[in-house]
Amino acid sequence: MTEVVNISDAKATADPVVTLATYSLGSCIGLSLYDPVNKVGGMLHFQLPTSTMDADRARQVPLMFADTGMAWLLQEMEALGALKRRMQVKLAGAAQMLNDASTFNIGRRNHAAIRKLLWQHGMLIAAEHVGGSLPRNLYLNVSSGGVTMKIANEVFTL
Amino acid sequence: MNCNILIVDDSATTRAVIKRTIRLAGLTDGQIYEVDSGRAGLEMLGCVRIDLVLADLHMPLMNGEEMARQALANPTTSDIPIIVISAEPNIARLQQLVDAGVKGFLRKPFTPEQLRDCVGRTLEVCHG
Amino acid sequence: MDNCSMPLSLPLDDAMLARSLADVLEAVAFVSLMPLDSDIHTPPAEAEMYWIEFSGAYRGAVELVVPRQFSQMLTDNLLGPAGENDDSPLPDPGDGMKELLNVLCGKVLQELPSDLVSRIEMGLPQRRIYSGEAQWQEFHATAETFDADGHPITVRMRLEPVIA
Repeated sequence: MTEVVNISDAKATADPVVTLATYSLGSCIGLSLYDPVNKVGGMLHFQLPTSTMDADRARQVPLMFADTGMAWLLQEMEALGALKRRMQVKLAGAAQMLNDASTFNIGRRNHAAIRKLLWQHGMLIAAEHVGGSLPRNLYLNVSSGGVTMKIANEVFTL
Repeated sequence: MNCNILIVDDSATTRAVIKRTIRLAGLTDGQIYEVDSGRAGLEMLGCVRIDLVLADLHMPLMNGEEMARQALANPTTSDIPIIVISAEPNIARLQQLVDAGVKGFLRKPFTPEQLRDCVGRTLEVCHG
Repeated sequence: MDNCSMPLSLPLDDAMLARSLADVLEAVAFVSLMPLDSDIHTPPAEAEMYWIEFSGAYRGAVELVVPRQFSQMLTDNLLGPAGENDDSPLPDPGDGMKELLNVLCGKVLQELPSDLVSRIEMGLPQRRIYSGEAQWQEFHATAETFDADGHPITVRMRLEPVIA
């Protein structure tokens, strides 16, 4: 059963029949977290790097931002019994879309932001597929912990 | 894995980053030693059991290249794998070090994940 | 300028320096580099200058001017949260900046052909407190300033051949 994580959205679950999926990751990043011991999975699809960019918006839509979104996801997963130190971290996205052609594009900033947060939390990235200019879809199978990604109609295992 | 690792870099910040990455990645349960010069690195190699050396090149009080040369020439330390971690821009110089017996190199800037993968592979090959 | 030295058209330009700085700041310290919204006419508060000199067949330097707050932020980003079980003393923020500069220089020089790189020696990073508006005007006129996560960072590179 597929549960969709929308843009500026996140979900956490321990339901083994669920595959979490998020679509159209352009400059956004899809973050997949999975605790393999108690099989708790979570996914975040965020658009912007830091909530300080727009504090009002962050209060209304915390999952739009890497920092507030990740804090929410970790809290939800820990409430389901997951432990941060066991989590497998995988991410996809951070593309440079056609309307953002510069050294300073938002995809790169999103990538730097999530890497900083992960480092602060003591979490290393197990696998990632970022950059380029094509959108991606990301999937997490909660039963197995397997993460796959689709780009340009090809599916890859992360 | 219970390997002792020696970090040789004159930057305390870089040593701290490397040490934290190794611990977070769970690469070893052994000791992680750190020194700030090639000379101190050789002294440490003479004092304690070291299973892997991670060495910068550009350092005062003996650079990493000289330290590696002396360590590789000494029968008591020549088997200890050395990985050079450096901002050295000349790839030929890094390759010369590998040809001389250094196990490999990782160029700065590196991400924690790149360091994890490089050190993990070396530990697996040399001590796995 | 030494009368024996001439500007050399090396395959290095401001865009390359900016790209290298952006790459290094992101990879090492998770800092994003952005264009500065407005020009700054005075040096930042509590400014520090860090520089590395080049010698050999080419001479020059890469120079960075940053506010001390940036140095502290950089170190905080690099080290992660305080209080983790570690008995090593906390590094001075200047140490992280010197390492950043070291890595930046290496990255920039990698853009050069290998036969040029092999003829350039990088010195060790140096640091001093930066003050004096007159100095700033001269430096700023030939440097580029960026916004690095809310802090101004000004960078300049000079590299020219030494003709015997």
